[in-house]
Amino acid sequence: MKVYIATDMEGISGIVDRGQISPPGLDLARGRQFLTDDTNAAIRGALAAGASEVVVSGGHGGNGMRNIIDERLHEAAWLISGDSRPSMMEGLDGSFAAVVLIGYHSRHGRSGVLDHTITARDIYEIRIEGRPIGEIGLGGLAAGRHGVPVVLVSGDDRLVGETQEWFPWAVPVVVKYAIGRHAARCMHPQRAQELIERSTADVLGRLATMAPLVLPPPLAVEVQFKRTSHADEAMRAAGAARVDGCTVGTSAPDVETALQFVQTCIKLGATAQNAPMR
Amino acid sequence: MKVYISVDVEGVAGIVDQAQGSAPGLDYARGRRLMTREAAAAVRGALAAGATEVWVSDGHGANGMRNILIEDLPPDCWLISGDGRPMGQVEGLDGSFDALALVGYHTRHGVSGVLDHTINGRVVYDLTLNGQPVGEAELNAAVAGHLGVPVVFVSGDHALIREVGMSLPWAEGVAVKEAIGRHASRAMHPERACRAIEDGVARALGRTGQARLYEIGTPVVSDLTFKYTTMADSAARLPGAERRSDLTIRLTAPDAVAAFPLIMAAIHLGGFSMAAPMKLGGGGAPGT
Repeated sequence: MKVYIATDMEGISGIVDRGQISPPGLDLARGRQFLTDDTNAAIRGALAAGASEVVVSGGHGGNGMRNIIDERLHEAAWLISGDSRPSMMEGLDGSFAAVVLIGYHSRHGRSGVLDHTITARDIYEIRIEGRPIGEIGLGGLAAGRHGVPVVLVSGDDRLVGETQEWFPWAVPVVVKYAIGRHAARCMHPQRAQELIERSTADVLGRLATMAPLVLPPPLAVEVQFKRTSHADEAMRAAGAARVDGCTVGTSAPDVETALQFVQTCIKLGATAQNAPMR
Repeated sequence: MKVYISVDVEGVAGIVDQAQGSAPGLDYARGRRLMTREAAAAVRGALAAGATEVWVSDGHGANGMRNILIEDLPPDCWLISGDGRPMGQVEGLDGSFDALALVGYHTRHGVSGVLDHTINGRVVYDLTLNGQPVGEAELNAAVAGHLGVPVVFVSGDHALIREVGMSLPWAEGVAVKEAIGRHASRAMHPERACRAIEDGVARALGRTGQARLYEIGTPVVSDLTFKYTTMADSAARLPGAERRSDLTIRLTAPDAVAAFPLIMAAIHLGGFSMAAPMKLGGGGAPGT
């Protein structure tokens, strides 16, 4: 059994602020340790359930997607690290039996610790077939196109609803309770790791009840930015049509094209002038 | 038994200066570790006394209320971390808790003690609730009192213990240092301070029956006096605020729980009105 563990940082217990997840944050070193420890817990859970190969993706964008501390990661796992890769789910294919999402967060606009969708600065909302979608949904679609189910999502209590919305079969693991975007009641890291390890082992033991996230094509995709200038730049993406001042959209023939369109729009949008007022 | 431990830094043994309690202070890394150790000692005391659930609140404003190192706390507790919390140092406290402990607290602004201030040292000159001068200990005690939770333990310098000896006489007080001035003290060694806190919390929780609620009556009239008139100008814009004098606004709320966010909003507004403390010559205003 091959298991893919995709990781982010905002949903790790102990983390409530950008200063813990992005350079030159005062507490980035601690944040990276928490991330690495929670990831190791998931790896141990996967191994206990009989995984023969575990691939970890360091998916958090800050610090060039190089946040997991390689030398402290469980030695049984492979680590996908660094940016300039098409997605947080790089290297995932149909040979994997399950995807585990560790340290994820609510989509932009949904109250929760550090809510955002891919880039907090630029993106207001992403919609697939009219449904607002965050990073867990996008990751689930990327896995679903290979027939691989998302089986577990760890994060704060506000992420549970979003998890159930996209993966009603998956296990939500709550490691903190959001008070606001930058405050939470946090489970002790040791207890969070125990919970993640136990839950991962448990869910991988009942894969028969899991299902891949599949949406029938074609897919209506919309990327709504925070500023019109972002949308101006995103219009250069193949197949882009202007939906409104801040939004570009397309009709994608399959999930792969839909996800590529989202990524391309975001990269292009980021090149826009980001000073709010000139 | 559910126990809530609210932790500040100015009353921690070894702390005498802002540079130990705030980033990028030279000794901030040490200050937050000392704070974490005293918090951990209080948790151990609570667990030893039979607590089944312990919440720790990082109650110090610096670094976005993210000072305590969660990885160095005992595993059997929750940590409230981060800012933007409506109820500040007692966020999440409710009537299901049996006791509130205040660790590392300090005297209110104007009462000589290590790093005396009330909520924001740059902004607040004085705060009274129904005519009673209050510091952070009493303000939180009033919120807890309305929720039916007694303050059973307070640690800080000897001046704070004297202050709460009058306002919260039933609480177990542990003085971990003796203030010499605002920025100097004769301090107990941190190891001994932690033992005193652990023992003190356990002792206090062994006799919660003797603790009383800090009750200030209803409604709650809060008079908030600022350090600069421009701060009062800004805070007076809050709906319902009444200007009592050039420096003072009055806020009226049905009870302490309702008064708390109003007071915080007024202090925020006042603080934003003057990012630079002095515009005409001179140095900056002292602040914490």
